Amino acid sequence: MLLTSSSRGFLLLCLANFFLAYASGSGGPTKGTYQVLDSSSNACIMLQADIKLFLTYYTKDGEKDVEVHVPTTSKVDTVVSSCNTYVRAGSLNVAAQLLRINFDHMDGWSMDIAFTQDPLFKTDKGTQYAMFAINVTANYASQPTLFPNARDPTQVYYLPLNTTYLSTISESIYAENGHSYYCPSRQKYDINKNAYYGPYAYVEFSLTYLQAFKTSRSKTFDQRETCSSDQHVTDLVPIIVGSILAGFIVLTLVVYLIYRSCLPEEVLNLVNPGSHFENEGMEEDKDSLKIKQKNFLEEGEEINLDADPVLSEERTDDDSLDETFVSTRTTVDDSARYVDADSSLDDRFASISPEPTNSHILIRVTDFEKRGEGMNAFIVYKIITRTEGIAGYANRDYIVWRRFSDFLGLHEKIVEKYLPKGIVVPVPPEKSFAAMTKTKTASNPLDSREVGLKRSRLLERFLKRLIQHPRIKGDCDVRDFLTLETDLPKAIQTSALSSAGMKRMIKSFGDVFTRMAFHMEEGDRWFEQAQSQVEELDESLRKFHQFSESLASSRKEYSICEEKLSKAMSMLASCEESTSLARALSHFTDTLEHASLLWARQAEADTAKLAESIGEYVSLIGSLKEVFEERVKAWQTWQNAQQTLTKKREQKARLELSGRNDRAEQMRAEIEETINKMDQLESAFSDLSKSIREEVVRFETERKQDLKNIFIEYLETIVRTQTEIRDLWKKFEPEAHRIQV
Amino acid sequence: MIGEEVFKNPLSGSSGSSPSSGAPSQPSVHDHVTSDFYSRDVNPDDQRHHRTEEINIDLDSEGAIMVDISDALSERDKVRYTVHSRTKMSDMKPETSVVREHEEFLWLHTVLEENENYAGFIIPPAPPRPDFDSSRERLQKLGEGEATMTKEEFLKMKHDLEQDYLAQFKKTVAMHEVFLQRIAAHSIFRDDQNFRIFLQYEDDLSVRGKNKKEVVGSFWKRVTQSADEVLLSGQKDIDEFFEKEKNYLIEYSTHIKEAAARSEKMIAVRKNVSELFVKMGDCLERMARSEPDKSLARTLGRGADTMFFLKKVEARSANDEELKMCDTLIYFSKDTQAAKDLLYRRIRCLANYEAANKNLERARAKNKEIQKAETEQVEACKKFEDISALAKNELKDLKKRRVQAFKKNLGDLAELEVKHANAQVNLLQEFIAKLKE
Repeated sequence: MLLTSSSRGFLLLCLANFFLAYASGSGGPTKGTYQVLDSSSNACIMLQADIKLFLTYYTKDGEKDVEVHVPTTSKVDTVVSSCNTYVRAGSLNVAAQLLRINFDHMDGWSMDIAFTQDPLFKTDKGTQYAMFAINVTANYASQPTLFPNARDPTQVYYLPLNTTYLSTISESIYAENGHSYYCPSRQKYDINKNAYYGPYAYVEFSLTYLQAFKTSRSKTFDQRETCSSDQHVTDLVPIIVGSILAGFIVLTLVVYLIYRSCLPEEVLNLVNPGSHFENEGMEEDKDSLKIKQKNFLEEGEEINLDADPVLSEERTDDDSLDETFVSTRTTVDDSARYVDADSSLDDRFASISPEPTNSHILIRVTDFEKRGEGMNAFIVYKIITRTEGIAGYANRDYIVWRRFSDFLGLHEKIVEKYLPKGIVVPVPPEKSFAAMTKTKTASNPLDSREVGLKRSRLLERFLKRLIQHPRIKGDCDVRDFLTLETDLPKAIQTSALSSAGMKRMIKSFGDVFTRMAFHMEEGDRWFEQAQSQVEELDESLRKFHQFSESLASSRKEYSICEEKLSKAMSMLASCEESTSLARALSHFTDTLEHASLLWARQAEADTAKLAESIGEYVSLIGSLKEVFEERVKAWQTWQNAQQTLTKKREQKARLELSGRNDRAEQMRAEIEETINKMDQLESAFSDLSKSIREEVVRFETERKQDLKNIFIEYLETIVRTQTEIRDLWKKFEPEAHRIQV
Repeated sequence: MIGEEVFKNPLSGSSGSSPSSGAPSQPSVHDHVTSDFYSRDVNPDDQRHHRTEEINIDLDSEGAIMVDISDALSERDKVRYTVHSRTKMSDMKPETSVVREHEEFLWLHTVLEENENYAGFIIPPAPPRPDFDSSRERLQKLGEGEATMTKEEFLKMKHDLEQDYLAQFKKTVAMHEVFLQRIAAHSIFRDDQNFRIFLQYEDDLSVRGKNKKEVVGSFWKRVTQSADEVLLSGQKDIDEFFEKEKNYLIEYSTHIKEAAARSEKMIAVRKNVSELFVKMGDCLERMARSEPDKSLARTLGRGADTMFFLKKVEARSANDEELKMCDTLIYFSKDTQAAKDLLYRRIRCLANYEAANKNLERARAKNKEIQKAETEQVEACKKFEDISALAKNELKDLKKRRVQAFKKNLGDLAELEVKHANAQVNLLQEFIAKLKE
């Protein structure tokens, strides 16, 4: 037994050897593998690469270029290589790790590669390591065929270090600590390109896989960082695979929906409509996440201390722009009216308690910052809440940090609670892939700042709108959201790519289909009118929104054009011969430049005060429509119940006819129950209708006030800009008249 | 059908002014429909009488020619200008009126440019080709969209379009007029035979556009000129003034061209902004119409009015920026080009003169045809000296004219911008007060 197993092992070994031999027979392994071990024989440097050297050497009567391929069978010089040493670079002693490779079959040839974590080099705050020196010791004498006529028997090629440009040297090969550097394509690095330091040389790495300052004990490379030239190649494959998969999913969905729509109605009713969409596993996750995020919060606050100064400056600038610190004030008579409305409703509809006079609540989203790195990066927003006399809010001021998905989670919860009651729930800004990628990749901090600023404004609008609603205001989830200083449990359902997202999609598909299948006969004239009005309003508001957005972007473009013109003008001014005209022109240039700044600010205001306000209304109308749909759904379930009742009655009649009285008795009980249920559904429907009517009235009054305010605020921004523009030109006017002919 | 209506005679309003009072500085009667707002400082004929630089001719002086374009007629693909001239010169008819087309203006420019006697002058640049394609296109689109619009919207858009077209048309006419007036004001050019023919020959000049061969020919001429310029760039100039002037003009020309292009782009964007205000206003108006709530409808209506007003102001600002800034830049970039051409002609003469010198030396060495070479040399020398003297004056004059024009236009621009901003601030405050009611 033992013998057989060992012989099998041997056989396998032989096979492996055979393959290895075969591989090396056809040109040898394509790259060399080198490792430097520390005292406890863990690898601290690992390098796999195919290395070629391009060397220039002095012959007796000139120079010659030779290409040397470092044999892939070369070994590491274990004596010189070290995990912890000092390498002399210029006038500095650099703490480094050193790898020396002795070339196989080439006596006296070796190559040193040194890595460092020293922050002097371009290693961000010591969290990165980088290659900073390559030396090649050449022994021409041992290779007379490659290097005929060499003037000197040996030569050392080394990377001369200029201490003033340290950071540029190591820009080429570097990676985060604990990560490896991966670069399959060919990369050239100069060893020496200055004849002053000796003959020219450069090295070419390909199939590079490198890690230095390795601390983990594993024998493999840690997580890799791909060099920039190879990134697009590696990204392409997942993108293609991803899009194919997405295609499949859509296909499956369509097939399923078609299948579903073909089923008879009874079968659809058999399959309990709720069973598809339960949220399981949410509760279990909560606790563990809470702990995780608590840690995170502490970390976050530290980051907060050194918040970006530019950002805060921008923000204050922004603040001054919208001096109108809009307070969301709900007066007593306002809420009292809704209390009245509530008391007449069924118990199932939550009623709110009357509130003391002079209660108000102010919400501002004042700041945001990025947390986390890479794919896990996200932005948190600072929410400041100031309350006065609101039940449930003990303190006067609250400051919380929430991330974007928290907002979406809150919205989800509110929708779940209030939409079935016919309440128009405000909509938070949409999750956008563009914004997400900008946050995650953070290619350009300016970009992500723009996203953040815009989001902050939109989120503030969302929260204000929420709190403005007399019935949502008192909600405990909203209160928790505004007051709890700890992080909220992560809203899993809101991430863009999740099973919940998929379910949502299916659900909306299903809704569309059922809407097509059923047609509600509208018995209520009022609703009919309101709905058509809302449709019309929706259309024109959308159009208006679109125009206002393009207005903002045109204005932005205008400001850019003006800036460019001012640059061209300054060139013109600088070459103008007449000094007095040149002076006037340079004043003109200044005027244009200032004006361009003012227009850029106006473009911001166009976005913030007009386009976004209108956008908010567009989304509110969207949720108003949803409420109407909710009513249609309630009507449908009621109608379904009615149908079931007639069916059961028929069944009962048939049973009675056939004389099976015991079954008929049972049937009677069932009918009784169905009638009960139907009554409930009917009253639910009428309650819903009633509450929607009230919502619509409330919505209309709000709209009246809001639209007026939007116009006024927007026009005020224009007045401000124009006043400043006027002052600019007024200042310029005398300059123009001062030109001497 | 709308097309004909609009394109029939856009100048009919101003043609009412009698030909005898056609002096450019005199405002003519206009039939502009005054709008509800902003009527206090509207001058729709601004374009017609705006001049990048003032050209003053004293009619009473001997030998003055007064030229103006009293009427213009736009047809499918060309514009006919009625050129009206008055003079006291004895050898000319005292008053004439002839119909000319754009091509004939170009012809006049070409003959002036090609005349060797005028090599020492800056030739006034030819007026740009009338371009109403964009207006036509928009008009066509309007016709297509007629079915989807309400009557009021259609009429309003048509009115706007007509205004735009009118402005464009008047500007083109003004540019043609300026070209002629510059020639008429010039002490040498006004005696040119071809100019006289242009002004007084009653029939067609039969200079219908360049045919293909000529187009290729003129293109080729341009190419050879620039090649020659490169060749001559090595030519050493004896006169420091011209050497300096040449370098200066080359630099100035690139910068002013750049600035002109930038400002054109900027004005296009600004016009776009004003268009967007109209669209938003329309949207609000539609909303106001279908709004059952009275007070909200009023708010929306006011919003729409504000948007229309903003459009007017933006469009007017854009127009003024175009007239005062963009046009000045374009005008002088053309003049700078003309001055560069002048310098080229001069340096060409210099090269000829030096060649003649060499010929003379060679002739002397060979002792052959000395007489002929000598006369040639003397001629070339004289020609060069004449050109140099004239060119010096012309360049100095250009500089003076430029400073003057910039002074006037920048001043006007600042004034207008202040005026518009003021109007906007005041009226917007009124609107805000109304909204707050």
